[in-house]
Amino acid sequence: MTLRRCALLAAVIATSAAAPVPLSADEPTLTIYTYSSFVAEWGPGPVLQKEFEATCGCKIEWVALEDGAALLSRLKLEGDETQADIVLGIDTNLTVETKATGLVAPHDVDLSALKLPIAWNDADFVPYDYGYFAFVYDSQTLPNPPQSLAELATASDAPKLIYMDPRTSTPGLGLLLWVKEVVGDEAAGVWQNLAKKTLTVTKGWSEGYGLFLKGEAPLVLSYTTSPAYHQMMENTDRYKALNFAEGNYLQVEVAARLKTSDQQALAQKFLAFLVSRPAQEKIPTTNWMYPVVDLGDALPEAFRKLPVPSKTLLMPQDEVAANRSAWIDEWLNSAGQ
Amino acid sequence: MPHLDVKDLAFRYEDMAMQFDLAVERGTFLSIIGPSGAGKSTLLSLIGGFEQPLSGQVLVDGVDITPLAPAARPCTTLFQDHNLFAHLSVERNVALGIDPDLRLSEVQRAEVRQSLADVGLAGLEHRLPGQLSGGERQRAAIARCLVRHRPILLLDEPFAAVGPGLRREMLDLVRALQARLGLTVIMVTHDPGDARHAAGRTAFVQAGRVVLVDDTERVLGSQMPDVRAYLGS
Amino acid sequence: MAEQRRPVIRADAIGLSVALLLTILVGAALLMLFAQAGTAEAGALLGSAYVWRILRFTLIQACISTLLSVVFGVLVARAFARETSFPGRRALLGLMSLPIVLPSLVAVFGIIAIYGQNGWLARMLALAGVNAKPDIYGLGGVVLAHVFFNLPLAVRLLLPGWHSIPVESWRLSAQLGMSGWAIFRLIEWPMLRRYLPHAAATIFMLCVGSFAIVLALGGGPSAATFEVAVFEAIRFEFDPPKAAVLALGGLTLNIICLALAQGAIGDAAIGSGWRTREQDWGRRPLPARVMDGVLIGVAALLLAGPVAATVTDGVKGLSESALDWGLVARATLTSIGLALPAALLTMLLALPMVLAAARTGKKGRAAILRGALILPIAVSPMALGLGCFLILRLVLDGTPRAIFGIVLLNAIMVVPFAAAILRPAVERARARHDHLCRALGIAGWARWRLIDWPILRPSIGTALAMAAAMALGDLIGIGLFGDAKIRNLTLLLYDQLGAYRTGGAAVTAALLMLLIFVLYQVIERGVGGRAAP
Repeated sequence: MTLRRCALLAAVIATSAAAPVPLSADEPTLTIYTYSSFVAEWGPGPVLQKEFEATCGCKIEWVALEDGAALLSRLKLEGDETQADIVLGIDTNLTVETKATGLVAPHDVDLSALKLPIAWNDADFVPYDYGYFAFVYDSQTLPNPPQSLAELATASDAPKLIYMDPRTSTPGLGLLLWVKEVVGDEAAGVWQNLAKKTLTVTKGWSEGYGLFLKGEAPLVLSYTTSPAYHQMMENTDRYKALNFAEGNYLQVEVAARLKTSDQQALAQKFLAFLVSRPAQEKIPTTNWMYPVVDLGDALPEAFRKLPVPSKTLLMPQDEVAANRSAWIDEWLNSAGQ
Repeated sequence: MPHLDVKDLAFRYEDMAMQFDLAVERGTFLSIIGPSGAGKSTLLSLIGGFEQPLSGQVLVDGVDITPLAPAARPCTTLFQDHNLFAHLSVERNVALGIDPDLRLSEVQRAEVRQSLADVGLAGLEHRLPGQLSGGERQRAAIARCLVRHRPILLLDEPFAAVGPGLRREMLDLVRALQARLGLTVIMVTHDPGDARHAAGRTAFVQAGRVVLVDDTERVLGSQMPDVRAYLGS
Repeated sequence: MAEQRRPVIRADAIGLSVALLLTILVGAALLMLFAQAGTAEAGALLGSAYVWRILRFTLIQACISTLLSVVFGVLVARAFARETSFPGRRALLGLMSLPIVLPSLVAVFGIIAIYGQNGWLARMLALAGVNAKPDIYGLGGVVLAHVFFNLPLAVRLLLPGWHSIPVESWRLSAQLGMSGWAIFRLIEWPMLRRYLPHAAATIFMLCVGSFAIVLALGGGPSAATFEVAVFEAIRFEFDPPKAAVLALGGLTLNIICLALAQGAIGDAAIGSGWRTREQDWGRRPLPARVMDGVLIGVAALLLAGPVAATVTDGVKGLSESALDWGLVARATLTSIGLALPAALLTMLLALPMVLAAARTGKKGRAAILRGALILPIAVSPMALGLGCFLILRLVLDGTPRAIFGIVLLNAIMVVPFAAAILRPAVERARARHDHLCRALGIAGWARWRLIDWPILRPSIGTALAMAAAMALGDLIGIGLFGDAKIRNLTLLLYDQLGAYRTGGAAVTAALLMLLIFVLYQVIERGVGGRAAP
């Protein structure tokens, strides 16, 4: 009985261990640190990997971490000994900190063909997709949503909303900077008003959006591109994004090559591939964000039909890095009931 | 009329069907002996009210006490162990016999102290059970039985864990109390020597039935094969 | 004579070594955090208003949750002890083993599905014309979720207490005509004084270390526990030393709690014995029985609600979305493949320590062993996880590191629960057979094979089952050791939620819950044998 169980146990472990196939000696490996949902089955990772491996004569090995902040955290922990060749999935709010680790190498990729809402001048980071933060609402339960941040904050019978903690989530941090950019010193007041209408502040976007879809609240902090998913995959127009009168905050996701990498040429090739048309074509329907090159008609219709925010807001990265702690404290003190 | 009359008391324990018939005169000291698993303790439980029979009656002075709860029956039971509550003093343990809420009048408290003196535990009122020997604990338990003033005393192998010399002492104590208070005592024991020493009458229980009831010497000297097999002579 | 003593000493030595190893590992983990770049100004932290606010919230929610869980736990356990046979009793007690092993996210969504703004309760109220909506986002929701997890745990921890009361006590109470209050005062309360402190302390520590629940149901930034602060220090401030200081703060809080509870602690623990012996309850009055029925019914509803909601949402999700079943199957196998070794490792760690703790007469050694057994609950899981990662990074790499790290971390974190299950059985076995074995000279492997294993088998089955079930829902380990090829069901759930696939996520959640339940039962019965409940 015990012996049988041991054998069964061994068999189960063997089948599921998914041991990596031993690499042939002549194929170099490109190690990319990224966040978990990038390498999920339906994420960009697998398709990009297939496409790149077909031409590069190499193998991509992903290291999946929880999110962008976890990425940076891991880099800091590993320092010079990091095995990463490329780090992919930081957003613009974390680039200053990332650069401060001293591990990032200039990308040397030609970014002139990029089409972003802002001019991209960074020599170290390559953007691979972008999106606008927006409050997404359920048009069935909320026929008259607020049209501006001011309205959202001040309307007395405003609907309940869900947003994310700026300390633990990039959309949450985006909202913090958004509010700061729009109202500046009056942020404390805005947070106090929002606190009265907040259903809950979740740890990450997944939990928050999940609650929203369950019908817990009619408003959730998300991206302007969220409705595109529901239109394309679920065939419904029910969920719509709000473009505020004051503008929406921008999030650009970037990748970078590391100085410590022993595959410098390969890494640079990958970065170039990342902004090439074949790779960018895959982004919208796998990552549900805007591509950084102009795809023209190759951009899915649902994306083309999305209303673009009237104004793009983005704070200079140095200003963000310098003030983030203080602004979070302000949020803690005002939004804490 | 017998003091205690067990009539056609039927019970089932696992595979064994039991049927007990027993009559005990007032003031008798009856010992119940028999092989393990014969149902001796079960019989005592049934009399004490801790088990419900399938059919039959238990009568005391002609009154059917079968439907009564244990507290309402005119008997009091002493177990082999765990008769006392470990966190209460000896005095309070005994006092529980008078009032389970431990609200005693001065008269009742004196009674408790007297009862402890009767069993030879004078001066140990404030000790905890853990500070007493096994024999002293059983004495305290006897003291509690006394303050309850029930005419029937049921003992379930109460001195099995006590050494032979001490056991004789305890049996003598019970006999003395019985004589003084006119109690009817029924004691389950594994030791025929106990029966010989203290009990006037003895019942032999085998396979769920009372097979033989008589004066102790006659039972112990009986030629019935079951009895002989048990006593091993 | 000397021959007889050697095996006993050896068993003690193994247990002590494991305990010391575990303590050193935890200490090393924290030290590794301190060794990283960052600020560890304990003074600044102590003075920080933020930290005091966290402490306040942590204490308030933990105290309320513990109080409610324990009080209702006593009442429900008592009801179960007194109602020894009613239809579904066994199934209900089996259901009680589910909440504590569920991943927080699954439980949270289940709770929201019932008590949320759009949940079953809200919809029933709306149908009944009542205008109020239940608002669980805040302290109330946090407490509710904690009671959902810990009430069954309390029942499991306390029910053996009723089993430990000698039958004679109940007969005495019947004979002396004790009122219900007298019974409680004289029989049940002394027993509870032995079992309650440990149960309350365990639940308190679990609530102090609560993280996902607080962040999902807390309602806002005012809801933050020490664990949340540790998370921020690691992720947002990139300050491992600060995280270590905060973890030590949480640990101190837990140690104080344990010390307070130590006063009346006996050796109380979770029992795997669900069956009560025949108690002489006699004819119990109807009002008391109705009360028992109500208590059991309410507890059943509280537990069954979120479980049922998860299952229903899963079924709905099945019809709404197309799932890649190959993916699900691989994730399931990965979950199992990681959980089983973790469970085995837990037993290899916990069993020697529990055996040694039961055998040793020396108070100092017993203290070390008990401390090591409770340590994983008392320390912040995230700090511990990160510390282990840093340690393993020195010796291993890539996939081997990931697998070993996940298995090790999960094994360590479940040790306290396994120990709590094993302890009463080990002590019963020892009390019953130790002298006899020593007298007959049965020792070592023979003793294990002939005496200890058959007696401990049911408890080992339950402990193994609980360890495997908890490891199935692992997310911390997998998140930390981040190999992209190793993806278990919980990670799949998060991935689906993160990619708009809520239908698929609902199915995965239901599947995860089902897998946990089934694996638990299979292991408990398979290893524990028919004697297992």
